[in-house]
Amino acid sequence: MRRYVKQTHQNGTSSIWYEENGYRYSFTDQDETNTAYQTYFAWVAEGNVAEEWTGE
Amino acid sequence: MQLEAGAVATPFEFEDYGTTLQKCQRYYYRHASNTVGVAIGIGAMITSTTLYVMVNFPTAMRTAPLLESSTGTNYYNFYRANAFDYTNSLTIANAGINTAYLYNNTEVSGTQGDAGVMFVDNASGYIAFSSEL
Repeated sequence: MRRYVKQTHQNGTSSIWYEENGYRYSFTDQDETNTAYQTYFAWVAEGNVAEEWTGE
Repeated sequence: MQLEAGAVATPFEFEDYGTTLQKCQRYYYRHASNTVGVAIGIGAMITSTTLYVMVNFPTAMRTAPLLESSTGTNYYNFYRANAFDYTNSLTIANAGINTAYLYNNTEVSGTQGDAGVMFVDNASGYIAFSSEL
């Protein structure tokens, strides 16, 4: 099962990412027409929650 | 070969390579890949532990894209103040259809305000942007 991580930046936008096969796939919540964001949004709608990253 | 909708065939269109490439890059753009030393972009340490790098796209993308980047020990390198900061990964921070900021806040450590250039430092380093349907 895909594991999403989310980091909210100081300007209020968020970076969201997952890792598969040695690659990191990251996107922002700034454009809801992005296919990756739509997939993430559907995943959240199923009741899933991304891990919050607080490293910044 | 030319595919088109409808029952009537129109004359074959000869499109130059540059135009076709531009149309493709609207959906997928490989920015830097598999070559050590290839520049990713100019950046700066915005805090002592957070690095931002700016990337310009060669053509407007369909949407704010997904960043596809390989991850591995010291795959990327930020050259600043005559010193190197190695990173294992890059993440997209802000994106529009023309530009994006990438960042790392897990491996870098340096002086806030230092500017430099980020480049690929491993043959498996790979940076691409996708706005696929």
